[in-house]
Amino acid sequence: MKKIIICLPLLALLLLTGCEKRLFHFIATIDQTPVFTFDSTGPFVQRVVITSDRVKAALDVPEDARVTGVDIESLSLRVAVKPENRAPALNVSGTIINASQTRKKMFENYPVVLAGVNTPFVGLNSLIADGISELRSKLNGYVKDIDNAAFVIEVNGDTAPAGQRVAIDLHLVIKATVKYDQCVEVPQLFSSGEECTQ
Amino acid sequence: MKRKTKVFIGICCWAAGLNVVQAQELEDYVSKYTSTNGAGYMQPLADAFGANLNSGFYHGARISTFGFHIYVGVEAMTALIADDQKTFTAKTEDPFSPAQTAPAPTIFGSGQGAAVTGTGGTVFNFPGGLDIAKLPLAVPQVTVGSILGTEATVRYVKAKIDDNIGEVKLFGFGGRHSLSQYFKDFPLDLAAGFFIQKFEIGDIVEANTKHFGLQASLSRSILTLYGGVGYESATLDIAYDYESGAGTERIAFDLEAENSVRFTAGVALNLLMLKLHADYNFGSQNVIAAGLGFGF
Repeated sequence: MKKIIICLPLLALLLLTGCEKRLFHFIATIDQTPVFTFDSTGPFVQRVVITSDRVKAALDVPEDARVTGVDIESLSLRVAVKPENRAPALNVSGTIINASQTRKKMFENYPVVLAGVNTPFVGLNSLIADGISELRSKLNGYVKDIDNAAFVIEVNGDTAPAGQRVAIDLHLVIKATVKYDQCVEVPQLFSSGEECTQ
Repeated sequence: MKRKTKVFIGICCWAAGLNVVQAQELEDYVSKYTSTNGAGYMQPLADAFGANLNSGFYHGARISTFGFHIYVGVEAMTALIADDQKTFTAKTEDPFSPAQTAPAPTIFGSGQGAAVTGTGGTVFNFPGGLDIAKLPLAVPQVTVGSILGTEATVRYVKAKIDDNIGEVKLFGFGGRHSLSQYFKDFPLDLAAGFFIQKFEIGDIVEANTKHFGLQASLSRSILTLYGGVGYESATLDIAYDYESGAGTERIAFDLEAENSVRFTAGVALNLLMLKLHADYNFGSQNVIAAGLGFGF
């Protein structure tokens, strides 16, 4: 992060109050949107590898910040339906698979209606705690630099009714928040923030 | 909210006349809130900043009918942040599920944010605030008079922050007219006036204020007691483009300050050319103002 130092020689009187570094708590958002392309008839499955580098590339916190935690805010599906698609609806499941091949479901058999909708967007409102916890743990490890092992997200499912041709790009939108602390220089007269110990 | 918070820090540092302000490249900032929560989060800033700008125009009501007089000074104001300005009812935003409301800090509120838990252990975080009890502001001011009992007041500041943010500009002007000249036997000096200001930080922040009021004062030797009643309005518009992996999103908040009527009571000392004054302003947003200047 580049810092900008701005000089505004406005009022000598108030300059006497000086400034100091104080600790503030901030929140940044990191979005991960792996894309799963399906063009098949009947059941479908595909995997996308999520790497530490990919997550860190989406992370936008200052270099001098101290990350205190990561939370998963939401998962949602955005679907681009191709002309060849014949499936009116899908039932979709999502699984996180870590480096030791442990599988944990994040959502299961979630219905997605494709017919009559240009780009269906589905907020997933029945997520599975085990899978979400594993996802949170991986992202937390990445942003804190304590885990660099990649993981896999697998999306599988079937058309409804079964046996239809599915031709879609399915975007799994993962919204996560990164909580971090940073010392910021502020006027002493604000008495703002907390004592900066960094 | 990182971005808004640091834009706010930039406003405050400028307002306080601080010579060193740290901010970050604006495109690096992330907005946590969209319009609904953002307005609730930022509303107290509009109230306090607008009330500050609408303070310190006068320190008496005596205006001579003719003759040259000038005052050059610095007006400092501090909006006092009440407890009820530190929280608002925030709503979770889609696609977080299930939708919930929670008390969350405003930009002046606790530094610790709030959080609610949703499906599968998901968490919606509401950002914390700056945990401050007062918002200071200082501006230079020049008053010149008088013709037919009328004087003019100007505030002006212009400074370039950087290529990314642009310039900070404040321009305000107003006039006051002596009413005492029409009521010769009235024991108090009386005046009426207006003041209009525009404050900008690049194309990100724009604040506009208007104030109309009546003032009265009583002078004895070097001491002047003064007071006034005024009607005022203020708007604070914040807009910027937020770029994320999903594209560019326009984030905009158009806020209107709640303060409308204010009452002022103050005291001024006239020590030859040195002028000192302080007043307290009562309204939905209370403000303490003080000024130091030279004039004759």
